[in-house]
Amino acid sequence: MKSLRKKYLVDKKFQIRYIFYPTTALVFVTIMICGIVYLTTWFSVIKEFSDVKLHQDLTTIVRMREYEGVRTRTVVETIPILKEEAKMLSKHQIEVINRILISTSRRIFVVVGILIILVIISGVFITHRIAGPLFRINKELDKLIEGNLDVNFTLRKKDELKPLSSRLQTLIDKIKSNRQRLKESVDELKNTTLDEIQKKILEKIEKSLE
Amino acid sequence: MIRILISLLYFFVFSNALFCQKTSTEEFLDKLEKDSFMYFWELYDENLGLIPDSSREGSPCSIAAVGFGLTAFCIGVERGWVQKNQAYLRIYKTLKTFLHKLKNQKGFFYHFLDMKTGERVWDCEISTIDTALFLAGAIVAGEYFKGTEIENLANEIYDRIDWKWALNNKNVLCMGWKPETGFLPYYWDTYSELIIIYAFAIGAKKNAIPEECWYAWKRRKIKYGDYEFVACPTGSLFAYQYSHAYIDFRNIFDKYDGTNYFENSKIATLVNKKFCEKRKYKFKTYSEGFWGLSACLGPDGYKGYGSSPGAFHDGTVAPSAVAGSVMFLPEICIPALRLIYDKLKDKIYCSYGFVNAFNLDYNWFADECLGIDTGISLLSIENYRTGFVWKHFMGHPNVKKFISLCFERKKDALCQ
Repeated sequence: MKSLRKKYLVDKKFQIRYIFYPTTALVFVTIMICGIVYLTTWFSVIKEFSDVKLHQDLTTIVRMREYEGVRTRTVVETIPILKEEAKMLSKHQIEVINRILISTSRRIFVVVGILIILVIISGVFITHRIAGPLFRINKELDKLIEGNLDVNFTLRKKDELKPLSSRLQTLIDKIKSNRQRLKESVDELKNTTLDEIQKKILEKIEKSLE
Repeated sequence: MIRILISLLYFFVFSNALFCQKTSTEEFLDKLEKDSFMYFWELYDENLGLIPDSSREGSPCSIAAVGFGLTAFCIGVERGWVQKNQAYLRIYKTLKTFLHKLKNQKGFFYHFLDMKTGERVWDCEISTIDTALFLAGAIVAGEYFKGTEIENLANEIYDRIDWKWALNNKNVLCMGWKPETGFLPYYWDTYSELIIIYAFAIGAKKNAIPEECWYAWKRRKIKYGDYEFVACPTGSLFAYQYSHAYIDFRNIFDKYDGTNYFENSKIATLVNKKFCEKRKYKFKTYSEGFWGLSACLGPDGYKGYGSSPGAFHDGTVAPSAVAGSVMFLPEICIPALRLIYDKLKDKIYCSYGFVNAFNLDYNWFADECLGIDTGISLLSIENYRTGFVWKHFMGHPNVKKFISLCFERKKDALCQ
């Protein structure tokens, strides 16, 4: 029989607890990765685009062109290396890189947000496969405690804990059949006199002594 | 009796003065050489064994500076400034890098490299002359550490170079090549620092260029006063020094026209000095007795300063231009260096020797040293004092082959 379980949060506390752990771990790891990437990139950017570095690079480029001009005896037009301009260029470059980094980080956070929602949804489904059977088993056990042997531990096809539930079901089935046999014996004894009972017991004892 | 005493006193005073002067000259040269050596020793990067083009922060590596550095390390060992095994390990690392790690085109290397990665920087060219200047240092190191792995590595780097390729189907060597545009439209076709590259290309064991190429480049003779010499078009002194720091031109004569390039560089140095002296009323730098026009930094950047025939100058002089000629004319160049040192040491002398250049007319003083200029100063002074670089470079069989093919010795030659 196909069980149709439509309620996915069958055991809220249990399921939320087990959705919370991986989600928290994921958020933590993501923040760490984003932070490390952002900071290391940022420090590299600061270093590579500092006015000092830009001034050095500009000097190198101009110098190389001048070397080439001297060697080939050609006129090389070079701009003077202006420290103020290098400073402004550096500031501009850093701003540009900062904008790129911020928008990249935003995109990363959006992706991570979607990822978290997916983790929660899949968490509900995954925990549902464990929480559902546990809930079902608990419910049936409660019936048993109340003395009702008409319980059914059969689970859905994709549920976890299936071996446990099938053993429980076997156990209940055995208890039920024993109970039935006992009942039949009691019914049989009800229609018998004491002498006959005594005779039957003696026969059984003699049989067992032979 | 009194006359005798006065004579003795005079003798004592003069001999003492002469002795002191000699000692102080030796001390001065020792200091200048050691400080120049320290440029290469201290700025050497342990990672790949490269040496920067300049002492300026952020400077890339220049392979020519590496060549001067390898030679400097050998001089450092010989002078007792560093231990032999220390220099050996450094040179070994550098040669391994050049043989196995750096990108090359037919064995030629890029002119400028990133100090940390060894990658080509700023789209620079594969440079034939700078590869030759690097190789010159490698060959000196190979000969100095003869019989070791360094000699093998230096020869492997040499043998890998395809010199014929650099001709680009012409009879003169091309200056360079870029992957984006191919061969540069410039050739080593006129007297300059070119001799070293022709020496390697003609003397090579593998892929040598024809001997005829030696006769293909122009030797333009000019007159300056009473002097006549084969001139470099810019008149920059470095062009008369770089090849000469490695090749011992004393007593050998060009088969082309009998020119002795040692004597030729002597004349070029004298012309350079005279050129400045003649203009001492117009330029403050020259009026103070300073001279030495060569390609160097100046108030408006790096320029190809020089005396005749280029005669491009603005009062900027390079101490390395003078130091580089010590091997030709010590009697003129050493006092000239002393003059610069004594008058301006606070402004133009640093822990790596003289800074690159200065100009009193603009009250401008460079704040950096360049590897190749610091290198030529060191090599030239060492050659003057011991002939160390010449001795080791000239011992290589390929160099011997080049000399025998392109030069002749004259019995009555008296070059010193």
